[in-house]
Amino acid sequence: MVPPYNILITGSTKGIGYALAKEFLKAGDNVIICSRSAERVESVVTDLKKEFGEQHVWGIVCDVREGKDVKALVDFARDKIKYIDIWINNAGSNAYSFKPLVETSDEALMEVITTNTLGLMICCREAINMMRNQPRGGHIFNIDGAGSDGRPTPRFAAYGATKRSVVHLTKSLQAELQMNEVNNVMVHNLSPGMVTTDLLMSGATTKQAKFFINILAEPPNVVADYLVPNIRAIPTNQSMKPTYIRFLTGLKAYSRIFSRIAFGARRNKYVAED
Amino acid sequence: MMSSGVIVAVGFQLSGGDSQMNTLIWYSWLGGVIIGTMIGANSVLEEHCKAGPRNVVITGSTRGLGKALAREFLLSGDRVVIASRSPESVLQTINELEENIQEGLSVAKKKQRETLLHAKVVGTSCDVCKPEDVKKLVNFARDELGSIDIWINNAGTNKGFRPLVNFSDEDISQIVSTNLVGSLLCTREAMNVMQYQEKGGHVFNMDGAGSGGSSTPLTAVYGSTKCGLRQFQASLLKESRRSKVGVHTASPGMVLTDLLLSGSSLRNKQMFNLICELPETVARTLVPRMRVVKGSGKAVNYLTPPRILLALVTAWVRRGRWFDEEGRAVYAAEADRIRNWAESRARFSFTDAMEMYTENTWVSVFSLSVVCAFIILSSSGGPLPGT
Repeated sequence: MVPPYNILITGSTKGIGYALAKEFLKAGDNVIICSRSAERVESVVTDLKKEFGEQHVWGIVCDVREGKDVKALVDFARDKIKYIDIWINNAGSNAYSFKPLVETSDEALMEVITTNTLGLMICCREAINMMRNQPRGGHIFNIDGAGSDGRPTPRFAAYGATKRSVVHLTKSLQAELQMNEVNNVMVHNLSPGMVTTDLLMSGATTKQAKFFINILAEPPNVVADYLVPNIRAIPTNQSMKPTYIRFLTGLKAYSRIFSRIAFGARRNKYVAED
Repeated sequence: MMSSGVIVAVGFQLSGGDSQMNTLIWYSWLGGVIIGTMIGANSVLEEHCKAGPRNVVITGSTRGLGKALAREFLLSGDRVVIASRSPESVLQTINELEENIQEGLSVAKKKQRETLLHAKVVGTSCDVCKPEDVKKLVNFARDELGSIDIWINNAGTNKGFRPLVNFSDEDISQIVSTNLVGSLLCTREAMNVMQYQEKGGHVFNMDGAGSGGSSTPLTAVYGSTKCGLRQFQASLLKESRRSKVGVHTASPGMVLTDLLLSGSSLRNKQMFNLICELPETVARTLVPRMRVVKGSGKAVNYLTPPRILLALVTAWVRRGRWFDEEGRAVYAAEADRIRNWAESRARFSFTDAMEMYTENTWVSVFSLSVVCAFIILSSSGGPLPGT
């Protein structure tokens, strides 16, 4: 496939989603923005239109947990840019709650599970449905998070469980697509690592959390700057292999922890530790 | 005591008055008494642990494995709370299970009778993905039984086998909310109650296809919720390290229930012959181990390596066990199976017996025998010339 690509990013009015959208626009692609809040969509789209021109970015309100909202999103995308090459399932929530499970409220649990798991599944279904009928096919990216590797996530158990299920869903869908001989659609995983967004920073309350945030986290634009060329390389190379693009690799993480312990690097970088 | 005295006497006779041999015999007799007492005390303790009715809550227990688990707990003399979405099926299940208890009483021997008299089954309707319903269930259980010892999150659904694109919004939402929301809400409420109980309590989450992380095409939604639950278990274990509540997983393996059979193909069914089991069989293995579980983070599994090995070895014999070549079921309906229940329960199963003793027991038995051998060798090695 030749650029420019048509991109759709869910939950893209702030955080990583917004940074990714901006980076794709810089690369000359067309982007559909969406999120739950109408005002945020409007203000973000106006800003981006000012910067990148009228015919590159569109926005719509969409709650990924609602099947009909996602269907409307697909129709909107078809109407504006006809087809989608890259669909990024970025919308995710931790309800900004970092507490042991027994103290977590009903609302927080529901919010986390319905957004991260239910919403993602509905989006994947609609995306596959749309893309397999496109001559250009398409790529779906699911964003992972803490707990994806199966390691425990105390204080945000629900979030970890949903993110573990994201990675598993990707894997199952890859197997499923292969089984049904759908060879123009592929599902990938995308790992932004730790990003200094509201989602992460709301948990910077314990000493340990602050320590790791200072060492390992990066601002959204740095992460997007790394991820976007890697994402765009997949349709450019016409690769249909499943990939797992990682920003924060194990080696990077360990070397940073080492330099922190050895030289005190990045102490108090984002949050004061003492 | 009598028999050990006889053995010692025989030993003296055989040694023929050799003083060194006599002391050796005395030592080994003493050792034998100590070991015997230890083993005896252990089994008495185990008996004590096993005795006494447990208060059990099982979600989604009007069908399939949940019902079989409930029946098995009842026949062990426990008090069980049944819960499911539909009030009618709860009532019907309570009636059925009460009949089962009566049947059990009529064939039971004296000692069993006493434990069976404690058995009691109650139930209420509860949709596990509604927080207020779960709270109601907890209060109901506490009102009826006083406390909750074991809580089993068994409710789960997969809505058949097909590609994700053919699942409706409603289906996906039901699977996610039953499997993931339901388990999280129930675990939270159960832990909330149990941490204030004197004896604590134990929560079990049910594993399923996908728990281990292998992909589950055609049932992607179900698989990913079960996979998420496994990670959830790890987080819980960390969070509840200092609490009195144990969080465990139970893995039933493959069970011949509606969940598995909905939309299975002929080829699947031939595979099922090999590794599947009836819910009653699985429950009979899981329940005794759930009842005596200690600590936290244990995994109670049905399909253990010896069982898988057995299945592979006997693969030839197992052809046509549940389904014939055209995929028709050849096993009896539930009601008929239960009728033959009393006899099949009494049958001895070697793998069950092996697994009733945990790994630790086997390790300690082994090390004890090594120590004994060492003592005997070193003391008998003494009088040999040249050493």
